[in-house]
Amino acid sequence: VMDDAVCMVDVARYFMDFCREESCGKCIPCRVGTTQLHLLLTRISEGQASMADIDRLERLSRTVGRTSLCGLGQAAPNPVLSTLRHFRQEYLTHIQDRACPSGVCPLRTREAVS
Amino acid sequence: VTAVHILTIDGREVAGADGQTVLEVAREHAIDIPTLCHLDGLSDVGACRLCLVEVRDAKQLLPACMTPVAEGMQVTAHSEQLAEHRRAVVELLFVERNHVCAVCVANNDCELQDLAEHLGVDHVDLPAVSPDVGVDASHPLFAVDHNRCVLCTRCVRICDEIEGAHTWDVAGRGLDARVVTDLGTPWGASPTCTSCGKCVQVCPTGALFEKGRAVAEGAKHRRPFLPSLRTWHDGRRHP
Repeated sequence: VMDDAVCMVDVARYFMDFCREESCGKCIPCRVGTTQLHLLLTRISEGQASMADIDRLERLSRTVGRTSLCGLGQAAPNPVLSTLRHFRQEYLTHIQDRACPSGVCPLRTREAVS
Repeated sequence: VTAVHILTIDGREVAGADGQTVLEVAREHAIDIPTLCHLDGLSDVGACRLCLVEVRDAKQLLPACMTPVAEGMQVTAHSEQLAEHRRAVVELLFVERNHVCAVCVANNDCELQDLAEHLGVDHVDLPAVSPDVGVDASHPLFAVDHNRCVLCTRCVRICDEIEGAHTWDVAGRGLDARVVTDLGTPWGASPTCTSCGKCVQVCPTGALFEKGRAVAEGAKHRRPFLPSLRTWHDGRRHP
């Protein structure tokens, strides 16, 4: 069930981890792009990302989706792009407030920091 | 009689014969489309994604090296969007393994380096993954440094299609993919390798090199002969 106990950054990271694992490695955007997207999403979920990483995430997602050879790579960035479209604020909270609204991500919450 | 198709590439009207690819026709008309895995005289795999072009009414970007020309086709080979994708792909190549030009045997004779220069990739924004993938220097004449490999599979194809030995292949998948000799036995122990050196000559980077070459001494020279070699080879197979 996708309720308020689910973190959208974590959902995107989960699906990207799957695609990274399943990539065959023939084409570059999928082989390296899914790994790099996973690294970016991990950085966001750990509260280590900057606002520039959101831009990187979006641009790389578009490239991987448009240039990958097969359906796996073409569809891999979809969870990222749709969570960014509908739950952008959750990403921003992870980066700006270093907090995970659902308490899922392994970062220190604002309370814990102060 | 071979049918001739009229198409446009970047707004220019060009003619291509039936069976020719968009890439071949573009190059005949001095329209430059960047490539990495493509090599004249070898089969195409469409893996590097650098020659992707926009074709009107096509849902996806298509690799020019594998797309046959058709009558009335409208191709865009250069756009701001394509340039951004190409730069991103080259950046991904640079951060995958270890591409430090200053200590590479192929420095100044490297197609990856040329691409970066040509496309304006002067820095990388992403962290390098650089897994420790090792070097196999067991062959008496050549060595393979997997840290420099971009998995273009030119070595795999030339060994199979031209030399006929099929020593090289790809093992593993995703980031674990590697070129291997004979199911992963050391190159020097390969019973099928003829030591012809064709794989070394077609390698676009410093991944395959002749032993005894220092930094920037690994220039490759024999690529221009490949198309004629292919014709000769095909003639022997299908006289």
